[in-house]
Amino acid sequence: MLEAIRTRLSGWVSFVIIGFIGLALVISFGNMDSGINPELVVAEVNGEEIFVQQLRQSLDAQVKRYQDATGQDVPPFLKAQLAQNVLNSIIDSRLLLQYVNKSGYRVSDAAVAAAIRSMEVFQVDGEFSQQTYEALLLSQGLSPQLFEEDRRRDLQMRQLQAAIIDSAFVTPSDYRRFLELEAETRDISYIAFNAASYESEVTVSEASVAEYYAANSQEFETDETIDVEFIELKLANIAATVEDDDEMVENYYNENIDRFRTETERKASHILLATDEQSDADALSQANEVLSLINAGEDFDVLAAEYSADPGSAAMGGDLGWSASGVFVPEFELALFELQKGEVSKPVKTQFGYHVIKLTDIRPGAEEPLSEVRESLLVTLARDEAEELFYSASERLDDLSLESLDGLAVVAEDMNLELKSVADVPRMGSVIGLPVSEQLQNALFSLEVLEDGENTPLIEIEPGHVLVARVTRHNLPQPRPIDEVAPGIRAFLVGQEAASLASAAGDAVLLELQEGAEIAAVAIANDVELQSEQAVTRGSSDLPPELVSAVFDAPKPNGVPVPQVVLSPNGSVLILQIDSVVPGKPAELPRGERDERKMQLERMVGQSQVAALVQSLREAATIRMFDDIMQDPELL
Amino acid sequence: MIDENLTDDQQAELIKSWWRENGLFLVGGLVLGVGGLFGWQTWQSISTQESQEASNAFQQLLEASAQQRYNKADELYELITADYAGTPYADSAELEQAASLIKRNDEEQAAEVLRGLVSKTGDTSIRNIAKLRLGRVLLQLEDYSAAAKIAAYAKNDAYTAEFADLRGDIAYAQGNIAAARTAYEQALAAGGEAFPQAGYVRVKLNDLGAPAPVAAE
Repeated sequence: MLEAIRTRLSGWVSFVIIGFIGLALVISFGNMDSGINPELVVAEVNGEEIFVQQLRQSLDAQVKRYQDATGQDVPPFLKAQLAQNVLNSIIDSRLLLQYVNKSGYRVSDAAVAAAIRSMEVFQVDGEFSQQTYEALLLSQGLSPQLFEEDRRRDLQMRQLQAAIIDSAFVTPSDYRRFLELEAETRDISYIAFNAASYESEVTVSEASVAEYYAANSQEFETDETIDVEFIELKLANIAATVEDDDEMVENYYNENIDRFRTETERKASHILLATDEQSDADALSQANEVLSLINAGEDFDVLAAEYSADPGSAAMGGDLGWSASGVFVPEFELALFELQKGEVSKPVKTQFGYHVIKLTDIRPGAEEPLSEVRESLLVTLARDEAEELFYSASERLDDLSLESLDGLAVVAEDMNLELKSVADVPRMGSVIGLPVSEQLQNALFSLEVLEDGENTPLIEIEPGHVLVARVTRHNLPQPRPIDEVAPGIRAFLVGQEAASLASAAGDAVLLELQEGAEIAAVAIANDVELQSEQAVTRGSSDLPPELVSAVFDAPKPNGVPVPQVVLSPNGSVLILQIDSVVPGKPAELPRGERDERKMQLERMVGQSQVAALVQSLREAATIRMFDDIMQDPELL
Repeated sequence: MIDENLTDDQQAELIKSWWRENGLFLVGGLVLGVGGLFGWQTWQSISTQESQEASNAFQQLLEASAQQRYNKADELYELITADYAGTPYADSAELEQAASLIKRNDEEQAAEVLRGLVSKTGDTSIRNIAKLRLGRVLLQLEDYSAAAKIAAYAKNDAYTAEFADLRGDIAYAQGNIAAARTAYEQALAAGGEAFPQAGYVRVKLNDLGAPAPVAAE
């Protein structure tokens, strides 16, 4: 097909078309593992398309970050949210990009080059290395042009950000107010009603436990799990069985002898008497004259500098460097190959004019003997063979398991592989003995495998490790007997009741305070301890976090204290009162910390203004999102 | 145009006469089109080159400001705003210059620069950002009426919360607690969860104290 395009179209038209096809190949090969077409459009921003593939890349990166941070998979409900967030940020950056382009931010080639040269990944010993640069891009499947355009875009975006964020400032009065608020301290009084201390007053009857059990039966079910059997294939295991084969190495060596051979190379110099500005005869006679001067003992190098019309070599004594055959025009090469080392040829005519050629050096071709390459060939060939065996076994495993309708035992026996099994695999999470793979998990719990008893397709856990599996037993959720769960239910009901007693006691105190009673008097009247803390700061870590945030969420009292209710996670209730508020003193902050706070505040102001800019672009833009793709489980 | 009842000669004659009538326009149009395209490309490349020069100068301006080499920064600011007024870097340089003047405690001059940018710029977002900053400088200069004028913002859009926050700060500085409360509440309502300054606005709102109690019945 490419051939046809090349002959029918000419010039830039075909170039462009072939370019597009090339791009499409790169894109689709890059995403063979995902089940969803990477070229589907998930959103349109002012008519520009955002493809699934772009969303996927960012989403995968986010998922990986989550996994690295928590050591767990992202739960499905969160994943949909994550995908939506990722898409929104892609849309935001596309909007900014469009704005940057439209406004006319432009970064020069030189600035792009400088930025790339300063990137550490491309440096070797602190110096930019062109070779490393090209190799790294190639390994990522990127062309320098695309990469450089990407960097240019980054730099342009950064200039916009610099224009707004770096220029954000905070005036002295704004800054003083910020520090006064930030370093503010509050003195507080509070009365705590601990749920635990009410537990002894609570009794829970058998009947209410039974009632709770009946009403919440689903809470007390065992997890749904499956028992699984599977057959796996590992490249490493196969590689261990491949034996060294000297005969094969020898055959390979003989058949590919060219790869182990270097050609004879010649180092030539020449003096060119060109025929483009003088007649053929004149050039020839001049060539003969040069030759006679050489024969008379004059220095070839000096003559080359004086006479040669070849600008590339004349200054270097006519030197053309080392070369094997096929480099020079045939007439030249023929003459060169007849020379002995140090010999000078008669004038030789080529399309350029007359050459006087000197063979200055020669090095014969060489052959690496089998003994020297044997070791590395053994390794390569064994690896190739193992891979071949692995792939044919994978294919066979795939075929046999597809055909086998009654289990995998037959397949295992047929292929002489171990049939492994694991029990109680939950929907979420993993069990020891079964390789961890999202694809495998999805396949096991798919309708065909779970309900219809089919084998899974061949699943690649990682390169060089594949398996097929089936579900041997589906363990549906079962209710746990009441005797097993009664103690837990009882403890829960006791806690609940105790918390409501604590809360009632708190409410009574709150009411008294709201009616104007003094907190100290209320504490005495109710026989509870009045606690107090001086100089609580926003960052206090010796008080419960819910208390600190309630202290600072409370409005500053205007003379009259305003009581607050604070609920803590353990069911306790605090009745809190702010006694006094002391503004922070900027002068007391160390200078360095003051500067750092100021920079943080400036950044926040700048980022807030960039956020407003992005939001205003959103308001003016036409944005379409294709929700059906966002909800496709293949994407997530 | 081709009529099957006509002979080849007649058809040829028809085409020739059509060409005589319309050929000139066709060729003219083509010339104009190609010429226009060429002109557009030339203009584009000149404007790209101009932008790139401005871009380099702006990059140098950022460096000079960061290193507090203010003489150099002033020079580059003059250069960019005078010679590259058609590029976005002119606006960027104005914003940067205002920040640099604040660092030098020259609020009066910073206000001048921002005022100039507000009237000059063709970009709504840049104008709003310049206004927000001008309002802060006027607040620092205790020119409350001018600050309030700049902070007035009737539209309900991406900038509403920012302007409301500014109005709250101005009212607070004037000791008008009720107006400050209203403004901060507007900022929180307009900005929603996504408003980056929501936390700080809430702190400022709490600092105003509990609202005056409504008279009991």
